[in-house]
Amino acid sequence: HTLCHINNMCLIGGNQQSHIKRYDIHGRRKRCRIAEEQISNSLNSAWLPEELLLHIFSYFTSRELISTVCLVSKRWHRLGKSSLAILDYSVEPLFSSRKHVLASFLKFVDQIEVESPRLSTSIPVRVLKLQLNRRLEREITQLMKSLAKFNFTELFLHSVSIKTMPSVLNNSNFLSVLHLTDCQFPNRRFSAVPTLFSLQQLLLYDVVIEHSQDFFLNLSQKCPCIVELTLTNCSGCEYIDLPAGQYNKLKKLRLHNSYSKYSLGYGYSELYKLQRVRIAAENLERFYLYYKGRNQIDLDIGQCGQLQFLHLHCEQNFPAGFHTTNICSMFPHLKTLFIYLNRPLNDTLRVVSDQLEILIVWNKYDLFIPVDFVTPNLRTFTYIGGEIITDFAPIDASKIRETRIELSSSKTSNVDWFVKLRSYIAKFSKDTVLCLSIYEMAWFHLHNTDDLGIHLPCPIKKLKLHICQSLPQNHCKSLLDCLLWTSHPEILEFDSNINFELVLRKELDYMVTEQHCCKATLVHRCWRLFLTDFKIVRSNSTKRNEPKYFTILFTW
Amino acid sequence: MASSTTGEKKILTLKGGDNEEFILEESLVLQSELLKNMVKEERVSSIPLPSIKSKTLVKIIEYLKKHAELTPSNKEEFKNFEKEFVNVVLEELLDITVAVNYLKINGLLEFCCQAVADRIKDKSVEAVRKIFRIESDFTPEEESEFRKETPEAFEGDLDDTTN
Repeated sequence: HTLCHINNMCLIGGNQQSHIKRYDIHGRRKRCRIAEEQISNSLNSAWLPEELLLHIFSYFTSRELISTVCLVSKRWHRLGKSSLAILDYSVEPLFSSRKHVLASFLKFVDQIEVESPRLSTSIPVRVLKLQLNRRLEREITQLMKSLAKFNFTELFLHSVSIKTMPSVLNNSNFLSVLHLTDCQFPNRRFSAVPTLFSLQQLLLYDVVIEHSQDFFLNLSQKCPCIVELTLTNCSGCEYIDLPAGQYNKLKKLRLHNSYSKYSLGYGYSELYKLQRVRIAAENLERFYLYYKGRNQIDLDIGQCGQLQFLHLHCEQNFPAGFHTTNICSMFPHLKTLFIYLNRPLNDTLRVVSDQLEILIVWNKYDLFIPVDFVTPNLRTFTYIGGEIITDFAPIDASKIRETRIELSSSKTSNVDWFVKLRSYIAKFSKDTVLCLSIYEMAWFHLHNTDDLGIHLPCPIKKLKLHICQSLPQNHCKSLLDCLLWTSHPEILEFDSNINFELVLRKELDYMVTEQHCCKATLVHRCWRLFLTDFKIVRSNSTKRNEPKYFTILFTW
Repeated sequence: MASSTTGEKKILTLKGGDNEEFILEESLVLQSELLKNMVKEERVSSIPLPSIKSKTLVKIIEYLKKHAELTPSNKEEFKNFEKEFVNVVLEELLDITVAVNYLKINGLLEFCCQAVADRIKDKSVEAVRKIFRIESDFTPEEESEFRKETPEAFEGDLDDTTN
């Protein structure tokens, strides 16, 4: 009996199947067969039993469940949905009648009745989304009391006044995500907010922050476990001061100030009041700053030694106190760096790191900026600007697998431009993918492509082309000519508003009938002399917001 | 290595998937609900665990030992050990998590599940499929419909596609 028992316990083993059969004579055969199925599956570590997956999913937020977990497979979708209970109420548009608003409100009350058994059970992610416009103040206050009995894990409150908020926050020992949009945050009555011990993620969107210096001190006391903090378009905020020791759990910080549909009510000056950002969160991993205001921000993030991701984009003025000469010695773990430059720097832009994997430089006005990039493990390099500046290409490009060039306006799309592009590409290895995005293109005037002159083939793996306007057909032809002169890609991918297909089909006919496609002699070495075959593939992207792409496979 | 059962210390053998044997004190395995029940009820001295790779078992035994030594004074040290413990390639972490789930070592299971969740949090759907070797079984209609439900990304989240 003992043996039998042990064998049952190790059913999920591989080579014990004969034993299972021998000892299992008490009608438990069926169970064993299921177990045998699991045997083959469990050898693949990626196959996880249902209860384990559910356990893992319980650590996700509703956002992660919906936008990742539920999209993986049917099984994950089913399990993901079963980890989630959402109460969602958005009022009718501002101008709908009170009768209308009340009717939809009553509907929501019914929904609470229906959903309440599910909300009180052990479903790990329990979400309340409320979007009001301060019209049902009385009813809502009542409602909040009845909602207070649920232990929500996530609250998304939109235009909910602070008077009604505390009742739902009071039962907040489970709360891990709190998003407030267009709400008044209780600046002066901070004491009314209970301590949110389990809160990990706080997002404030269009929330007025007064007395910002006290605000961040109070915040750290009210939210002692905060991991992720996002402030978007918070007007009135002058100082963002996260003192050392107070925010030691914080890993992600996003600050974003620009106009939005909600912030129209506030003045420009209220939105762009930020003067100083001083972050001393010792475990911060990601820092994102976008500021559109005209004033210069005093930035001090020197104590964030664990930073892995840094995104600095101050539209009008490069922040003071941030020195571009020693970025990577300050942040030795940095993997991704985005830097936006809009005026000449006093120093060199020096990036010396063997940790850095992604580097994005936005040189808005094509300024001459002395750079010093020593980044042997860089995988992706992106240059955004108006023109191609070859100096910006990193010296050691051996590990780079992708380089992007995004050009906002290309004034001179003449031969020189392609010569520049060529000398830029030549710095990368033949396994590189080049993504070229041109947002505003002057017409191509390349009547005489012979001017391109002699060159040796410059092979790359893939050229991905994105142009934000459609080109007439004769321009397509010269663009294609020049691009293929510039590089010999194995794969050329382009969005559907570039009509290469027709051009290429003509070209194909030409190649079959004519031995010499153009006037090219050995001296000029037209790309046609290298090309042996090509194939046009049409691809349908399933991704949202992505244009359809055509692909051409070239054999050189 | 203690080969005799001197005093109160009982010795137990765990047999990993590749028939490698691990001899350890019985008190250590009591952290596993599964093994505890086996030991208590059956008085066995050797337990075959063919589904668990020896490499994984080594890691788990390492944890059991550290956890048994845990005192209020070395709490910080243990936390660092835990951090390092899950700092392995994702495939190995999954192996460990599956085994811990099977052995029912509750504290460690919480920690492993959290670690797995953290590791796949910022990844794209495609990257998750690749990690778990899952092929999408949605129809294109289903997939595009489910994608519509997804909330908008925040600014600065768009770069989160690194695998």
